[in-house]
Order: sequence, then structure tokens, then C-alpha cells
Amino acid sequence: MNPVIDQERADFLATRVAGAKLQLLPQWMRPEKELPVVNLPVEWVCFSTLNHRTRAEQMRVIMTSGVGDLFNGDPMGQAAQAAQLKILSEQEGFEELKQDLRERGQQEPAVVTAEGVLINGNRRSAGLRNLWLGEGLPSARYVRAYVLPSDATTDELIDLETELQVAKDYREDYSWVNEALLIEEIFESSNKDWDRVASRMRLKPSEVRVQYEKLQQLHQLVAMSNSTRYHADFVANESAFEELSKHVKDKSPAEAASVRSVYFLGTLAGVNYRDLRHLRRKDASSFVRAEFASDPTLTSLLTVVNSTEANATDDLIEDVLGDDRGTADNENADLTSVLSFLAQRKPDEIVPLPGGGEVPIDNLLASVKNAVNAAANEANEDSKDAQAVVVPIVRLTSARDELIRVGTSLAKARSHYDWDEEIFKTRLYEVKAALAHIETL
Amino acid sequence: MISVELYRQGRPTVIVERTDDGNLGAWARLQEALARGIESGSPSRTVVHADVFLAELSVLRELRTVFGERIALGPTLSGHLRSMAADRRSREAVVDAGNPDLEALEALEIELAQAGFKRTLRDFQIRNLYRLVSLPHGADFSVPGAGKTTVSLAGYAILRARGIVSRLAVIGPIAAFGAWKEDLVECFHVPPKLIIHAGTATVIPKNTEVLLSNYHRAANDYDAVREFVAKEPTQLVLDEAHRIKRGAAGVHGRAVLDLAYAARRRDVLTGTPAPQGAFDLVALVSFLYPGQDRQILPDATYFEKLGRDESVLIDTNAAVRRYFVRTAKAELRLPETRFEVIREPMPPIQAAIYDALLGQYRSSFILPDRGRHQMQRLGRIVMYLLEAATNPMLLTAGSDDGDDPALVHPPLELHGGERLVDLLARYSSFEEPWKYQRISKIVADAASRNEKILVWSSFVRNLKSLDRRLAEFEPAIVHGGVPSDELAAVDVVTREREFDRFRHDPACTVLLANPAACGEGVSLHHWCHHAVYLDRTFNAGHFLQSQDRIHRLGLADNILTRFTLLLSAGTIDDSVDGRLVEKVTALSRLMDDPDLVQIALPSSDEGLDGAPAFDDDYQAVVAHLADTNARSAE
Repeated sequence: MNPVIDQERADFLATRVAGAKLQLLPQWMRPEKELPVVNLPVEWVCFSTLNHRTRAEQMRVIMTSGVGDLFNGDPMGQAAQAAQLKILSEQEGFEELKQDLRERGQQEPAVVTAEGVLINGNRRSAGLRNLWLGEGLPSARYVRAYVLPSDATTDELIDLETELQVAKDYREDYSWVNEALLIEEIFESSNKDWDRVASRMRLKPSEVRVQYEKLQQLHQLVAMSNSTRYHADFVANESAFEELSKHVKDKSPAEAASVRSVYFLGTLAGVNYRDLRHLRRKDASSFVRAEFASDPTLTSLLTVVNSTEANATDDLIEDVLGDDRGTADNENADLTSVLSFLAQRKPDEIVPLPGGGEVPIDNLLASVKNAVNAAANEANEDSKDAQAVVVPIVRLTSARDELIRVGTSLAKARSHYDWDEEIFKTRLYEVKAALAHIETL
Repeated sequence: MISVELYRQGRPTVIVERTDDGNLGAWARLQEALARGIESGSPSRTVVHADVFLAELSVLRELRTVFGERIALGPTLSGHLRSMAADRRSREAVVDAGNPDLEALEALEIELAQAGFKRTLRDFQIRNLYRLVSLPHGADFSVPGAGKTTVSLAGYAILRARGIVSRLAVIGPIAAFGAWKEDLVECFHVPPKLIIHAGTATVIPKNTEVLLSNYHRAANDYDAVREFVAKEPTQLVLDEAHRIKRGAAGVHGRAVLDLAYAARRRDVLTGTPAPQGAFDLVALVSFLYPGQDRQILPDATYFEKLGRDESVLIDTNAAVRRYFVRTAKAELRLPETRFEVIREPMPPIQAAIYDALLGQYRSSFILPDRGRHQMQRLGRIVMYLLEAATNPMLLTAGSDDGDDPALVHPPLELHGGERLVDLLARYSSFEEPWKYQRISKIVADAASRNEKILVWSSFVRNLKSLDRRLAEFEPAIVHGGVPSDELAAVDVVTREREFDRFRHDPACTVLLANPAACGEGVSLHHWCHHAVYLDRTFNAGHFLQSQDRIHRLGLADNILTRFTLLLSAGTIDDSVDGRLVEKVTALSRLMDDPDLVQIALPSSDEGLDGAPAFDDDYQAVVAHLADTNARSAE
């Protein structure tokens, strides 16, 4: 329910609704799916700050502005609305959207609550407002919108957003981070039941889980950065997070930790996910650690990091686990320390090195990138060597399978008019010759 | 802050909650780690199965060191963690303690007598007992016949006298109930009050000291059994514990793994702890040390495919050898066994039927497409091939109600017009199975010498056909369709009565049985010294356990125990044989019991050598299908 409703706005909208034509909104979950559609002044409608399409960007603005309740303290207030408009206007594809609105106008009605908050059509309204206030385009003066009943609940609003989100035309507007945030919220509000999430998102349970799992990895990296990196900063790194979360899923804890720390470090330093791929292996952190050892700057970095590291070890949990940490764990611990050290510093910060000298974080990140790239190369070479051993067997196996297929398809082929027994015999002879040759090797 | 607490009523569950100031990264890491066990929750709460939580305990360490998150452990969880820590310390201490000296063993014998235990243990039993009671939780992997039940009761007597436990709950197959009942009476001066759990209707009186249940009933009536185990400090024993090898994935496995949390002390007993390979041990270790299996077993053990890989076997053995005792078959100093492999070609029509069947499946299985559907189909095909290799007339009948549920399959689908239909029609008029003929001869010869024969077949229809064919020898017959009920009316045929008839009625000279129904817990060694296998399946546990019915402790030194294997040459019988060799070899590595291979398998000059060495059963069958020469190489 909306206990605190802005009465003045509600009254304004109510007068417009009176006598308005009804139009079908199929995604509205109540049986009364025909809702009034009205024209509203484009400066009058409010942007929704609950919209998942901008969630990651909001998290960044909250962190940089230091105002924790910027979007939910007074969502319809000036500050929140201005910040929200800015986010919408800076999202990818906004110029193209404006161009489309300029040429074709508003095609589908937006959706507003009874007090005029946009549940759907935020970006289009931002575009129209921009065109009306900036260019004075007359067709952009009003936004056409369905008006929801005044007793619509928060749950219904999220459901409607989800329904509209999953409708094909809207989906692509969501970045993977924002879509995953929406999935996470539905998951948490539906008793952590994947089937329910999946049916609401019109996706398979495995698909929504993948998005959620990627997001859990991202949450970790962002948290490690201690408010210096934001979810929205990693929109371009979807592949890395996808490959990471898929890989660590059923791996032993040691391998998962090794691969995760290398992926985080690599992603932070800007290593391409295609290179990181080679490090999806148990000894990933050993490869990277070895590259660190051959770079004097990074060796110094390790010293700095380890001297600031405070390890809280006490109690019951340690007692149950015992001291079962091996070398691999130590290498992981090293990388994790480097990771949180780097993640918590801005690129222009300067780090003093032991034995004099100093280096900007930016340069350190570049060194880390080189090290991870080099480690990826090494790992790639290593697995190629391993593959080379089995290449003849793999080839022979597929040749065998093909030959079996020849046998099963032969009768049918022979019954065909165009069949050429001569060519068949020639090929057969060539195969036999090739086999004979292999046997002499 | 993140707070965590364990709830033990019903199924063991952990609830994890975060406060508003919680670290989002720490929470995310925790959700990732617990993902496979999450049952429900909200934005600030996650409900997860205790197994998964405890298995991922090390993530809490990460939450602190990596994210600086504070963790608050609830009182029940803290108590449980303290007992886990104590378990860890005491099991590690046992390893350092080395082997007991004579004095320690004598002291234990005295303590045992003072605890009200009257049966005298053999040397190897007292050594096993010493190690078992010094471990926080015990595993006895001794071969059948080594007296695991007795040693287990001795362990209970000691632990009860030391005030560690005051009750005993045993979960095992019904076939083993008799042995437990007898041993309770014979081992204690004052036998403890026993109740047999017969299912949900059973009332368990307050003064019950020993509860005897089976896997099925314990799963169906979980709450009542849990209540018994949790109410007082209880020792929970799983007999023939290999039955839970499917672990949390199986209904029975899930129930006993959950019961583990309620028990003060846990023990597993089985002579075949890992019939399929190292992976089978995961469920057993999880039961003994819930949530700590990963600390004990190496990572590679968890890959089912690698279960018989040499290095995995060595590593797994090294990891668990300190936590179990095993009296190997060789240590029992049993008199010898002799294997005879009779491998014969099938007569012409049977061979033609087999070939037609093979041809029907060959084309669809030689290509590398291994979907799940294919696997299920393959299971059925294995049944048909096994039937065809023994008696093709079974093909059109499908499985019998008394069959092992794992072998259930429909009759072979025939549309008419196939060559098979014609062959099958001719078969019964012109031929009969060579294996049946051979068995008739073996049984008749034995009867003339006043000897009894045990015939094993996995298919109940074979047993029933042989029952008719061997009528003059008044066969006793035991399979899943024969009820086990000591209180049944006099005219009802029960397993117990059939066993008794075989043992004591001179006119009854043959027992027809399937390993699924009577492979465990039955002793026939005083009455029979020759078993014939009409057919075998890929189940190595069944093969080993079935041998132990007639080859066990108590045999006179001059008795030779004989096993005859009937194999149709060039058929799936050969593939099965090769795979069983591999599995038994793997088990002997895992258990440090090299003699097992000699005792339980034909040596290479007794049978065919160069058995196919394939990665798994699936490949063995596919290879058999693909090998167009198999049948011509007879």
C-alpha cells in the first residue's frame, strides 16, 4: 500500500482520469486490465527511483554523493528527481532514443501510479522532457500514460515492472547488472524459491540462477573495493563474471578460491576475459603468483600488502577446521590481500614502497595486468602441451566414429541412382593406405 | 554482522541472518557458498541444510579475513562446533597413538567383562574394538563373518559403561535383524531391552534401550527414530552401511545423514564399503563426521568417474585408513576357495537371437551421444542382453515382481515381422538354455553325493524356471517376492522358513536365490560349500556379499568352498566379468586388502584373462555392442 500519498498530485491526476478513455494493459495482473490513459505535462510526471533499470547507477551515485537515502528519503523531491534524470540521460542509447522520439513521437503509453510516478516509460519521459525543455519540440510537451489505481501495492508495482520487463520490447534496455539486481530482489522476496523467480521472469530456473550467481561475484568484488568501485563500473565485464561463476560452481573450495582471486584481480586490472579463460584451473593463483615474483614492483607490493594485513584468528571455527591450509591457500591469501589493497585505492593514489621510491596505483594496476596476462599465456601454453599428448588419440577417435557412420549410411546410399562405387573404393583404398602408413610410424 | 544458528528438531537446519549494516560482499560470498543447500529465506535471512552449511564452514573464515565481517554463532551451533572440534582432535590423536600393546588390550578385555559383556572376543576382534572405542566415531569394514555385530555390541558395552552413551539404535537390512537379536542375548549377561521398529505404527516404550530399524522404515518414520536417538545420548549404528552410498541424493541416505546430527556416537559396519569405487566412501564419511568429510577425503574422491583410478585409490586409502578397522578375509584364516569358470558358446538359435538383439541396438549406441535418455535405455538393454545370454525366453516376459527394483524392466517390445520373433518362437521347441542343463547336472551330481548347491541368479524368472525344472530336489527359493516374517501363519512361505528347509531338510538339496534379497546377513556355510552363478550383474557388492554366505568364519579347515561361474562366450557375461574384476581390485586397493583379489575372484588361469579395462559400466556395454567380433571370438 502507499500509506503516504501526495494528495495534491493525486487530486490533479484524478481530475484528468475522470472521463478518460480506457485502454488494455495486458501486463497488469488484476482482472480489471483496462486502465484510463491520459496526457500529462512532461515536467509534472515523476521518475521512479525504485526502477531496477537504474539500480546499479543509483548505487554509484549514493556512494559518490555520500547521501545514503538520496533515492528513498524523498523520492519525489528535487534532489532525487534531478539525480534520477541525470542517470537516465546518461544511460547508453539515450541519444538514439531521443532521435526516435523526435521522428516518431511516443508510440506506447507509459505507466504512472495514482500520484504520477512513472512505473514504466521513465527513459522515454526523460527523453521527451529533454526535447520539450531543450528544443521546445511541441510533440514532446505531454507524455501519454496509463494511470494505475490508487490502491496499487508495492508488490503489484514490482510485478508489473517485471511483467513489462520480460515483455520482449523492454528487455534489452536492462544492463545485465540491473537485470540481475531485479532477479535478486524477486528471489529474496519469494522465499528464495528459484521456480517462482523463473516463472515471474519468464525464464528457466537455470537462467535466473546464472544471473544471480554472477551478481554474487560482483557484490564481492565491489565490497572488497570499500566503496571505490561500483556495480555500474562492471557492466562491460559480463563475460568474465559469467565464466567465473560457472567455473567455480562445482569446484573444490581450493580451486574456486584460486580462480576467483585471479579473476577479480584480472578484472580489476582490465584483463580481457578471453585471456582470463586460460586461468580457469586449480593452479591459477600459482601462475599469477609466479609472475608477481618476477616483477620487482609487484614483489615490493606484496611486502607492503602483507605488512598491513591483520589476520584475526581465534576461536571455534578455526578449532573445527584445524590448520588445513596448504601452499595454494597461502598463494590465494597473498592475491586476496593484493586484491583488496588495490581495490580500496583510487587510481591516482601513490603507494610508498619499502626501500624508498613510490608508485601510483595506476602503474601498479598496469603491472598486475601484465602479470595476469603473462600468467594466462603460460597457462595456455601449459595446457596446449598437455593437449598435444592426446591429439593423435582424439583424431583417431573421431575418425573411428566417422567410419562407423559410413557403415550405417552405406546401404541407403547404395540404393541411390547416383551412387558411385568406384569413388567409394578409391577412398576406401586411401584410408587403408593411410592406416598402413600410420602403423609403420 | 551475520548471525548463524543451528536448529536440530526435525531435519537439521541452519538459519543465517544479516543486520542492516552487514557487508554486502560478505553476504554475497555466503549465498554463493551455500547456494546448493538453500531452502528458503528473505532479503536478510537464508535457511540452509545443516550439511551444506557445515561443509562450507571455511567460508566464515573468509568473511572475516577478506570482508572484515563479524560473525555471531548461536548457542546450539557453538555447542555442535565444539563437539566437531573435539571429534577432530580425538580422531587425530588416535592416529598419533599408534598400535596398542598387549597390556592395553588385556585391560580392555577386563573393562569389557566388567561392562556386562560375556562373549569372549577373538584377537583380531579385540584389536578392532580397541581402535574403534578410541575413535570418536567408528567404521568397521571387516569382511562378512568377521563378527562386526559382536564387536559393535562390545563397543556399545564399553561406551555405555564409560557413561558416553546410554542407548543403541541400529539401522540395517531386515535380513540382519536375526543376527542382532541373537547376539544381544548371547553377548550380555543382562540383555538390554530391545524393540524392533516395524514402521510408523510402532510404539517405542520409554524403557527401550536398543532400537532395531531398517533403512526404509527409518526414512518413513524419521521423526520417531530421531526422537529416540536425540532424547538420550545414543550410539547410532548403520549395518550394511554401503546401502547409503547414494548419500544425500537417496531417500534412505538423506534420512540417516540427518539422523547423524542427533546421535552422540556414530558407527558404520560394512564389508563392502565401496563396491563401485572410492566415491562410495563420501556418504559413509559424511555420516560419521557430518560437514567434515571434505577435511578428511581428498578432492579427487568426489569425482565419481575417477573412483577406480590408481592414484585416487591410493590417496583415498591414505586419507581414511586411520579412521576404520578392517579384518581382511585372509586374516580369518578361512579354508580355501576354488573358482571354476565355465565359458561356453551358446547353441545356434540362442546365438542367433543374441546376435539379432545386438544388431538391433548396435547402430544406435556406437556413436558418441550419451544423453540421459540413452543411459536409461542402456539399462534396459543390459537386462535384455543378460537375459538372452542365459535364457532368451525371459525376453518376452519382462521383470518379475520379486526382482530387485534396480533391475525392473518391461518385456522386450516386438512388433511382429522381425527376425527375433521368428527365432524366439522356434527357440522353445528346439533348444533349452545350456546354463540350465549345466545346473541340472551339477545339482544332480551333488545330490547323489548328499551335497547341497546354492544357485544365484539376478532374475527371479530364472529362479522360478529352475524351481520347476529341479522339482525333484525340492528347491528352497528366496527372492524379493518371498516375505520375511517370522510371525507369519504356518502355511506361508517365508525367507526364514526356506532357509531352514535348505539347512535342515535332507530332501531339499538346492537353494535358488537372488543376491539382492539374500546377499547379506545370512549364514549357510555349515550346510553348503558350492555356489553356482547362473548370471551376474555389474553390482560388485552383490557378488562379494553373496560369496560370503557360504565362505565365512566357522568353516572346518578341511572344507573346500567352490564357486562356479557360468558365462556365455562372447556375450555381455564377458563384459560383466571384466568389470567385476576391476571393481574388486579397486576395493582391495582402497581397503589395503590385496588378498581379496585372490579370494574373491577367479585367478587368471581359471578364467579368461585380458578382461576389458573400461572406464565404467556404460563403456563396457557400448564396447560390447560395438565389438562386432565379440561373438565370433568365442
